[in-house]
Amino acid sequence: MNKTLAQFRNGLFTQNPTLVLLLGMCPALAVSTTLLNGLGMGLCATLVLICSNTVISALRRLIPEKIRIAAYVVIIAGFVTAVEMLLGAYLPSLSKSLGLFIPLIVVNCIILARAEAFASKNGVARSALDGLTMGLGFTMSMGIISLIREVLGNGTLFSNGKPVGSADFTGLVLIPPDVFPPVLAIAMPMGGFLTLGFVIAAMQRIMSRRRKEGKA
Amino acid sequence: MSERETAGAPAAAEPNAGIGAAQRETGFEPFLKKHPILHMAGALLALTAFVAFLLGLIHTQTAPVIARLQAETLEAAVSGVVPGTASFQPLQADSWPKLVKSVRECRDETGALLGFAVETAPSGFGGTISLLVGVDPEGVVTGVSILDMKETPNLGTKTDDPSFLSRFVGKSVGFKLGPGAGDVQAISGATVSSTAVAGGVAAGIAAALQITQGEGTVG
Repeated sequence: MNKTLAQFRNGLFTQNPTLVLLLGMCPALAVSTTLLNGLGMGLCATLVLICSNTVISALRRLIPEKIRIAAYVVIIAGFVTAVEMLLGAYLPSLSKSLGLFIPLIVVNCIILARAEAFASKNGVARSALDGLTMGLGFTMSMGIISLIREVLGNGTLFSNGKPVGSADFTGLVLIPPDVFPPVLAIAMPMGGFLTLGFVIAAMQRIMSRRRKEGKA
Repeated sequence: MSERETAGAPAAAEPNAGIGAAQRETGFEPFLKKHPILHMAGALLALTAFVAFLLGLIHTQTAPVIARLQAETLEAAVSGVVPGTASFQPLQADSWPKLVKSVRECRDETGALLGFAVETAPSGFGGTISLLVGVDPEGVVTGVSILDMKETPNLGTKTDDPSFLSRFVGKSVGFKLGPGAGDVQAISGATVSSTAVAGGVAAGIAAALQITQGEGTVG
C-alpha cells in the first residue's frame, strides 16, 4: 500500500514526467494552447502508457536485449494506431479535434522512457500502475500549462479552438477580446516555452520548500 | 529519447529463461545463441507480425464505420458548398486539371444542374489539404470547405474558418491572393496554408470550366 502511494507521489510530484524529468516536451509545448486539447492529449497518452507498460512488462523476458528499443516502439506504435482507429470510428468528434496529435503519442518520450526505466524491470501490476501515475502526472502538467495559456493567450476556458465570435465557437469567454485583447504571444510557441519555464520554477519552489520542512 | 545506464539489466542477465527451458532438448536455444542475429530478427519479426495481425483485426471492424462517417461528412460538405443540392453523382474524365481528385455533379430536386463539387488536394505546410470547392456552371465559386488537413495547429488550421473560406465565394477564374480590392486576403502567419487553399480553389474553377466549356481552360 505504501509502495502504491509512493508511486502516485512519484508520478504526480517528485518525478513528474513533464515538470521534473522534463520528458515529453513536444506535446507539452505544441498541444497546450487550449485546456481541452491539453487534457485530451494527456488522457490519450495515459491510456497508451498503461497499455504499453503492461505489455512490455509481460514480455520483458522474451524480448532480446539488443533490440528492446525497436520492440518497444513497435508495441507503442501498435497501441497508438489502435487508439487512432477506434477513436475515428466511435468518437469521431474527439478524433477530429485531437486527430493531428494522436500519431505524435508514438514519439512521446515519456512512454519510451517508462518502458525502458520501469516496465522492463518490474512486474505487470506495478508497471500498469506506473503507467497510470506517470500518465496522470503528464495530464496534470498539461492541464496546468494549457489552463494558463488558454486564459491568457485566448481569454477563454474550455474553448474548442475556433476563433471567439465565430459560429463554430464553443466554450466560455472569460475575457472578451474587446475588453482586454488576449496576449497572442502566450498562444504562440514562444508563450509555451515561457509558461513551461514558470510552471517548472513554481514546481521546484514548492518541492524545495517541502524538503526543507521535512528536514526541520 | 531517454536511455538509462541500467537499461534492461535484469532481462540481459537471463535472456529468454522462459523459452529456453522448454526448448532446450530440441537444440533450439544453442542454435539461437550461436546465431544471435537470427534470434533478434526472429523476435522482431514475430512481434511485428503479431501487432500487424491485431491491427488488421481492429481495422476490419473500424474501417466500415469510418467509411460510413466519411460518406456522411462528404454528403454534408457537398450540400454546404453547393447550396440547394438534393442529389449528386461523381463525374468521370480522362484527365482533370492539376490538383483535382474528383468531381461531383450537383442537381436540385427538379434535376436542374446547380454546379460542381470539386475535391482538390493542394499541398499545404504539413502535407496535403483535402478541399471541397463548390463551383457553379459559369465558373463562379459558391462555397469552399476543408475536409481534412494536417496544418500547424492555431496557424495553418485558421484557414478552416468560415470567415476565411467565405472570402472565396463569388470569385472566378483569375482571382488572386493579395491586399488589393477584389483580391482574397490571406491569413497572416499562415501564408503557405492560405496559398495552398487558394490554389485548390483555382483548380476547382478550372475543373468546372473544363466540363462546361470543353478543353483548354486548365488554370
